[in-house]
Amino acid sequence: MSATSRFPETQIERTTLAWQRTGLALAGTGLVLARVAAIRGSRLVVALCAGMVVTAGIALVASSLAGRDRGPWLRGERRGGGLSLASHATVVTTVGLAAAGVVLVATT
Amino acid sequence: MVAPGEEVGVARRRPRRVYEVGREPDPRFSLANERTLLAWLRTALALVVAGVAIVAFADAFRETAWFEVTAGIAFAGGAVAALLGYLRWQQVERALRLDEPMPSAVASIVVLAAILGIAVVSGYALIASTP
Repeated sequence: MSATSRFPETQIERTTLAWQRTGLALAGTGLVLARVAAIRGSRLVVALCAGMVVTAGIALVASSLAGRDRGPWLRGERRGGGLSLASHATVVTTVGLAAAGVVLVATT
Repeated sequence: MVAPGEEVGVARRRPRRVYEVGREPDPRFSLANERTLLAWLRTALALVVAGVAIVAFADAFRETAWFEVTAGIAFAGGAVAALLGYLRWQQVERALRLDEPMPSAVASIVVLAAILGIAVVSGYALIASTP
């Protein structure tokens, strides 16, 4: 019997850690891009990145809290567990950050 | 198992095109699919970081405009990878709910194309900028 089937809660833990890793990577990337944009004098991209870093921080906290609520779903006691608003915000922020990079090279 | 009263709120789940079809899959499969989406997002972020590094490199060494093109490919590849990762999450979640076979991973080709594009254009940029 694998550790995952004996302790299915490790799946939730692993997923929450994956969200945290992604959130941290997002915030870090946003900060570095903002710094490069500041050096190039693009206030628009700095503002975009600042907004996205804040969004990443909020999504990071929200997805961590949501992870604590998933036990009953995993045990089949209730339905649910779809992607949260915070998760969707993380997807949008990632796309937005990449788009901010395109704006940076296109305008400076 | 699931009590009827506890299904209230399920309709609020988004996107509807995913959650309005089929039946509830094993939560472990959904969690694995979610982690795959996150892996896609981190791959997209890696492309963005590559773009940032190329821009910083080009600025520091006053390199040619070709480096800007390379950075543009990396940023655009990152945006497309994140979008495709999300669409793939939807496809796989629907397939799980409808008990269909796993959809093919066409999206990986985009990342491969972006990486190849970065390699080819930055290689040309290096040759072009060598006196």
